[in-house]
Amino acid sequence: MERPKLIRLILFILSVLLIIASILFYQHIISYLIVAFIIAYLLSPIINYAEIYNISRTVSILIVYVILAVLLVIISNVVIPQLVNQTVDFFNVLTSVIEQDDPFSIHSLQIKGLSEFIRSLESKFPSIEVDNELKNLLDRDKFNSLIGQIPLFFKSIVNLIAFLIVVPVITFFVLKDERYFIRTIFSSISNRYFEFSLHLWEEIESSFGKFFRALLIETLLVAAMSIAGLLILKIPNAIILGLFCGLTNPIKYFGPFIGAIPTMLIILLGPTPDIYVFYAAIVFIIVQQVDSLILFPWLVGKSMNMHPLWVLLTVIAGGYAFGILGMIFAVPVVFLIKTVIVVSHKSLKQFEII
Amino acid sequence: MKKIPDNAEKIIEDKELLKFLLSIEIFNNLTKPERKNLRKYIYVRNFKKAEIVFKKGYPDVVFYVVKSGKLKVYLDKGEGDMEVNILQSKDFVGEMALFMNENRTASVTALEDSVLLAISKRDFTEFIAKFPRAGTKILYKLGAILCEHIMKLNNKISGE
Repeated sequence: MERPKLIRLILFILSVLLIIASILFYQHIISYLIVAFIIAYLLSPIINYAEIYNISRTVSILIVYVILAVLLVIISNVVIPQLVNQTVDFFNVLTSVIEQDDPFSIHSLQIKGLSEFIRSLESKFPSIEVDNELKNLLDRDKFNSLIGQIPLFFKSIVNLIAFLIVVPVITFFVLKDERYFIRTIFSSISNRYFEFSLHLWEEIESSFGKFFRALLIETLLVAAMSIAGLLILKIPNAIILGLFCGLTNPIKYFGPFIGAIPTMLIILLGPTPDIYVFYAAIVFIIVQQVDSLILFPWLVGKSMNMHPLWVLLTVIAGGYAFGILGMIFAVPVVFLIKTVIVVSHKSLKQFEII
Repeated sequence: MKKIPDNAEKIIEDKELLKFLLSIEIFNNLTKPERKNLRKYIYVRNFKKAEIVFKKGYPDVVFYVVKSGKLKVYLDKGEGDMEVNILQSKDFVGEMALFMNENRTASVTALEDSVLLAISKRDFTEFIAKFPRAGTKILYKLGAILCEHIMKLNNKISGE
C-alpha cells in the first residue's frame, strides 16, 4: 500500500472511532440536537423570508424568539388553565351522567358499559393509592429507595432546565449559520459523490419538507376553523374539542370521524340540546369540505403522491402498532421512507453509481 | 513535489474569493454585501488532473465557475471523444442548467489540477429570489452572454 493511502486509511479509521466515541459520550445531547434541528427546520422559512427585506438573520431570529416567548407566556397563562378547566369539565360531564341512574334515558343506555368500567376503576384506584402506598411508605426498604430517588428527581429537573436553555441556543446557531452547516457538510464529500449527494438532499428536502410543512399548516387551519365553528354554536369546551379535530385531521379517512366523537359526546351528555349534534355535524362537514376541496389541494396537493389504498393500509397499520399517535404519524413517516428510497434509487442510477 | 491543498475551502480565504468573484463577468457589478451573500452559497471544489467533473446525461444540479486550472468539455462518441471547448480561469459551465430542466449535454474532465466554484441550481434560484437586486444583475449578464453565444454561432453559420 502506498504511504499516503495508508495514512488516509488510518485517519479514516481514527475519525470513525472518534465519531462513535462522541456519540457515546454525547448521548444525552443527541435528543437535544434532534429537537433543535426540527424546530430550526420549521422556523427557517420565516428567517429566510425576513432576509429578503435585508433583516439580518440574528435580528430576525431574536424577533421570532421574542414572539415565541410572548406566545408561550400567553399560552401558559390563558390557554392552558382554560384547557385544564375544559378537560376537567369534560370529565365532570361524563361522570355526572354516569351517576344519574335513569334507565329510560338514551344517554345512560349508551354509557352503561363505560360507567361500569369507571366505577370499577374508582373502586380499585383508591385502594391502590391510599392503602398500598401507605404500607409501602412504612416499609423501610421502600422508604429508603424513595429517598434514593430524590437525587434522580433533581437530576430530571436539571435536565429539564438544561433542555429549555440548550435547545433554543442550538436552534439559534443552526438557524443563524444554516448555510455554513450545509456548506461544511457538502464540502467534505468527494467529487464523485458531490453532485449526487446535493441532488439527493435537494430532492428529498423539497418533496418531504414541502409535505411536512403543508401538513402542519393544514392541521392548524382545520383546528382554527373547527374552534371558530364550535364557538359560533356556543358549544362548551369549544377550544379543546376544536384542537382535537385539528390534531386528528392528518389521519386520512378516519381522522374527521375520530375528531368529531368528543364533540358529539359533549353535546349528547351535556346541557346543550341534542339537536346541536346535527348543527355540529354541519360545521364539521363544512370544515371537511373546505379542507378537502381548498386546503388540501392547495397546500399538500401534488407533494404527496401515494395511492389511497397504501394510505389506508398505512393508517390502519399505524393504529394497530402505536395507537392514535401511530395513526397520525404513520403516513408522514411512510411517505418519508418512500421518498428516500425512490429518490435515492433514481439518483444512484442517473449518476451511474449503480 | 506537488502541493495540492486537500481542502481548498480553508486555503482560499474568503477575501480572496470575494475579489475573484469581481473578476467574473456575471458577478462583476455586484456590491460587496451582495458578493458576501453569494459567497454563502458557493462550494469550492478541487479537481485533480483527469478527474471527471460530470458526464453527459447526469442531472443538471450544479453550475461551475473555473477559478484556476484547465478543463475540457467533450462529447462521448463511440470511437473517441469529440472536444467541444476548453475551459480556463473565469469561464463557467452548466449555466444552461439554470434555465432548463434537462440533463448534462456534454461531459467535463479536468486537464490539470483545477479549482472550481460550484453553485447548486436550487441555491442559485433561492439567492435570486432572496436578493432580487443582485439576482437581476446576474440574470442580465447571463442573458447578454447567451446572446453573445448566439451571435457567434450565427456568424459561424453565415461565414461558412
